[in-house]
Amino acid sequence: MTPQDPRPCDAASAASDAAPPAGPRAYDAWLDEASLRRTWTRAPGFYGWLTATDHKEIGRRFIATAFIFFLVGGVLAALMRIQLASPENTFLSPDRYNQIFTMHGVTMMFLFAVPMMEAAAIYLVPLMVGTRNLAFPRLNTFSYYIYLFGGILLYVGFVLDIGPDAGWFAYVPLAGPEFSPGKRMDFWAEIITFLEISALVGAVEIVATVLKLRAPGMTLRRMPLFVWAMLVTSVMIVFAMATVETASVYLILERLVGTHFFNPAQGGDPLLWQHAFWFFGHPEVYIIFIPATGMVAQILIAFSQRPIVGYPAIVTAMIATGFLGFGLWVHHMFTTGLPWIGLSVFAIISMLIAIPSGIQVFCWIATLWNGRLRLRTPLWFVLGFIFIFVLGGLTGVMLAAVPFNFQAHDTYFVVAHFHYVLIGGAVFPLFGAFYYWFPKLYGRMLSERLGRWNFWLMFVGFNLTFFPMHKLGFDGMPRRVYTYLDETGWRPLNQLSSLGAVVLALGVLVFVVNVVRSLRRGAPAGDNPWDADTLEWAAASPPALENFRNPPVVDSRYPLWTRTPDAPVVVGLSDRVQEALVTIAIDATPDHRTVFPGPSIWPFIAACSVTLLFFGTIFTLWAVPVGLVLLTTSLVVWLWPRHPDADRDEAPPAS
Amino acid sequence: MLSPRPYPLLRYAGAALAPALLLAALPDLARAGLVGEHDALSPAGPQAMHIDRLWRALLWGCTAVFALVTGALVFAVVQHHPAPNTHDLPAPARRRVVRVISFAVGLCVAVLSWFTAETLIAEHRLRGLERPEDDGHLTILVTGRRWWWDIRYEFPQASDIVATANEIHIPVGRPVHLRLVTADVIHSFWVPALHGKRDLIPGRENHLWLQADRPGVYEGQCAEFCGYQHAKMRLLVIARPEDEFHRWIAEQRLPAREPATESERLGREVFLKSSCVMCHTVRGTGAASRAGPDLTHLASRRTLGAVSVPNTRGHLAGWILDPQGIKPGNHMPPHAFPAEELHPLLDYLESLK
Amino acid sequence: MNAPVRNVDVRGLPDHAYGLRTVLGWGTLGFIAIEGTVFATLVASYLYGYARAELWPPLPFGPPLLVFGVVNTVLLLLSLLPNVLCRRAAETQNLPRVRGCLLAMLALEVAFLVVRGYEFAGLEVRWDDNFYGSILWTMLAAHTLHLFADLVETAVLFALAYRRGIRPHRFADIHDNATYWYFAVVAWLPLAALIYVLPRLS
Repeated sequence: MTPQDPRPCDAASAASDAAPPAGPRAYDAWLDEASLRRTWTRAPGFYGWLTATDHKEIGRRFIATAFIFFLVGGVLAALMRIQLASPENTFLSPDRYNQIFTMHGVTMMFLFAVPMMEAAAIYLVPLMVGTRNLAFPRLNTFSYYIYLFGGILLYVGFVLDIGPDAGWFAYVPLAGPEFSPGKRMDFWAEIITFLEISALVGAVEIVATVLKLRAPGMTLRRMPLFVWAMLVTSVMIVFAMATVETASVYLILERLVGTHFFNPAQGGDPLLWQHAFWFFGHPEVYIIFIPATGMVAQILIAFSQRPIVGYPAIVTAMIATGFLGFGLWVHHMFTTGLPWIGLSVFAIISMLIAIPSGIQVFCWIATLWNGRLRLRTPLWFVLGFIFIFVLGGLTGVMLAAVPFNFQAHDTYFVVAHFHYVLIGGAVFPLFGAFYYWFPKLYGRMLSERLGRWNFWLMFVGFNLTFFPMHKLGFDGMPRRVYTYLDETGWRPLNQLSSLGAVVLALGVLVFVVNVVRSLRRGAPAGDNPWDADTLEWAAASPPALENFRNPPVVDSRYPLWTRTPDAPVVVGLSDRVQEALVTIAIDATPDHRTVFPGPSIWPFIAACSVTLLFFGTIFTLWAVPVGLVLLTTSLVVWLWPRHPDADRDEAPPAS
Repeated sequence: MLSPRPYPLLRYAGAALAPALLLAALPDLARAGLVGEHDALSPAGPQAMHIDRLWRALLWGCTAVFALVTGALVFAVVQHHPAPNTHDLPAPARRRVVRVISFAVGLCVAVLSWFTAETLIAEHRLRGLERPEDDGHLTILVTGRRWWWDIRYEFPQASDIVATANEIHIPVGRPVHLRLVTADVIHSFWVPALHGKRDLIPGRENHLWLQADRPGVYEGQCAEFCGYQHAKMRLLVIARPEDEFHRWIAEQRLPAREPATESERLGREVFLKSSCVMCHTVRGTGAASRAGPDLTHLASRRTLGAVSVPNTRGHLAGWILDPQGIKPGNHMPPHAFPAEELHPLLDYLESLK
Repeated sequence: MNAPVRNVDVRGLPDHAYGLRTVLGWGTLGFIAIEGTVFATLVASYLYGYARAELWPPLPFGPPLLVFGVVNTVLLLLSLLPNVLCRRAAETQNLPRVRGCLLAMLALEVAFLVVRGYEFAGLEVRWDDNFYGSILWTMLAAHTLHLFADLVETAVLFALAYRRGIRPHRFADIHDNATYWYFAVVAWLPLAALIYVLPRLS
């Protein structure tokens, strides 16, 4: 085979014509396990930690960071519930309250929900598709640092009492230079812009990994549903986040250099912000929801011990949701006085999107119906999810009805709706996913007893907190109010809601206790404690650095349920460089080999440059040229090949 | 826009406030004036009624679907399941899958079609209630300002125009046309008992048609976050029978009452000499600024501070001396009037009926 | 059935490929999609302002000089030729030709940026004059930044092409850069139409 003539498949079978038959054991002599382990190990110590490129290590950091932001966002919510528990309460000043509700929204939407889903994908997708790492390991590390720095800097502003205070969606002109003078909304605009880079980069990673690094035999029709979900989500992220990136740049320019994008006196329009933001904002919630449906499918399959009902329908539904999700954004703007005909069109599309979601719900219920159920904590969270999410989805359909929307928009009814679909539709599946995959990440089982307490406290607490809010909305209580008069009669339901928040918080606390205890004293988990079907359960718990000694070959949609002891594996990948097999996108036939670059400090340095660029611009425009120069330099050095002749090593010769 | 706490001011006005504070210790019946009907599900006008009807249809439909889905879920879980031993591959029969999915799609399409029809019908009805603009209907210009409602009743003759703040009086049984604009950021006008909300957006004029079918006081609130005191940007819509409404309009059209007592005269002098005139209009005097609410008929209004506190002497004193204490961040600065100026000023303002 | 099941031995597979067969190719496609969406948002914003305006550009400003648009568009279209050649040369690993084409690309890109520099200096309207100025400057600046980034990448690849022993997968990078350049040229065309042609149509 000449390098200029890379033909897939033929090369593989020709080389193995002379080789002994199947099974990993027959090739022990060919693979130097110690060398393989060394190849995938990074330098020790703090410097080594900074240079890490293993998707599992970065994935765990991402998950932990996102969870901490979840807890912080929850504390902010608790503060709000304390303030609202009694009328004309003075626990929080109006200014502090406005900062807190803004930070709660920003934290949950930008620092928790999407990053946590991407984190789960970063950890799980390479394992689930049977490869050794993500497609661009150093880019993944870069994405994490951007996220970490952005989140920290946002909180620096908040702690110093110069945090953003115009809502997580920052409507202009309130968020513009005239009505939000000072640095507060500059923090918002700059940091959102650079946080989006993290999500966009993650999305590109996932698409490339899913399409190019799947194990031989894993055709698109055999891909796990979580992988499908992340593929659809990543494509959505690319289009949605790029839009809001542009919009937040408009806001930066408006505030810093006096542009007139949103100034009606000079040809601009405040509604341009709303259109651009919600064109992102609506797909954003599906970006959060679709990965959760993938997690739910995996849990359902494992705990029903049966194939999922309607796999092609579910995949189609995910794609349809992703597509339709871009056609709904005006339903956030029904009260702005747009023409009736436009409103009707968006109302109809907003109702239509219930259909693919409905299809998924019925497929899940059918799977449960058919299954040999084991009621463990992950499944409990899935059941809770279905209950809560369907309720939230139905109030969403109500909100799509334009005249009803006129009453309910911007009230506590909407607050109830979106917490039902976001907590029900994303947080409950996430908690189920935590219980399901914790053994894989940490090698120990979480306590089942504490898990039950966790679930029930969260389920009851959640409904107590948010169900009364539907009524409050009808009763005239608008959103984002730091207080209300006792005479309105809103106190009893607000008190009930605050009480529910206590119960919900207790549930989360039980989870934290469960994690802390189980990390040290949990029952050791084997490779596949749940008898699940997907490839990550073929690796050890936790997986070795190289994931698989020999990457698997897949012969069905449920590989671990159909494989035999002598199932074929991939052999011949180098144990001296970080090599992986690249396959064809559609049918996953082997195509060529690629070498991943190893650990490097340059993603960290590049992330620092980007941070300087965006954060510095809050304070001085000189940060733009300086930051750009630093960024360009660090990117060039990062991508510059180290050794001119030794970009890669040769593979071990055939004997 | 925060001011320092008014301890020095209280030294001046302490004597004046003492009786007011005593009054405040008793149950404040005037606070009942701070609220009106605000239940979207108890409509007092045709618009809110059509929306309520739509809501009921949606509620029934969604409840039925929810009961069905939850019932199926519970049944799926509690029914007897065989013990796991194999993974039962291949997947369930294609026929059954198709049946499940067809049922799901069919149910969704049926319910959603119904909802769409109800929605379009309600939209059609609401549009029908929007009358042509040149039909001589009562037209009110509502200007949103941080954080109060600037109300102007528009009439062809300039001398007929009525300006007030935070309180809208309308005749029962007649459509009223609101023109909605803003002087600063986006606000949203919402009186749940009468209609849904409509945003006030810079650079645009929006419209809302209201009608109250029974007399009463209806409460509203700004429903788009507009900054610091968004929570206290409230308003009242007071619907009265036609003749009472005409009487009210006629009274509001008159210029400010001339002071009748010496104290009131002194109070007017205090008003005109202080910074009050920088922001407030009292028609008939020289004060003509539109930055703050029109005070020509202040005493005829039920509340102060955009329905934050009742319009009583004590609260008025508190508002003048320390508005930041009642509504921190609002744009009215505190005024440290000594007692000998404050009382006449209050007398004068209370005379502005 | 009785034949032994074979492991998949990948030692004989090539260690590089081109275009969408590689992970890099999909990464490049991803970034093209991201930047394409950014340009699409800019285009949509421009049209939004255009639809709302009575006069576009609003008085007293006129659109940017047509000569700049024509020269820059011609330069970009001309650059397609060395680009195509570069891409093919990368696939056949023809190093001398690759070097020559990269040099030609560099020259054309630099020329473009110089012309663009003159254009910026000569614009009547400023970004803080009105909406038209804001969106015009933002579009031109975004496109310029985009081209500048590509210039840096081309320069780096050009430098690498002069190292001893350039490996086959370096040609894959050059191939990708050439693919990306197609996007850069294609993305310019709607922008040019909106900036130079649309205001002159009425």
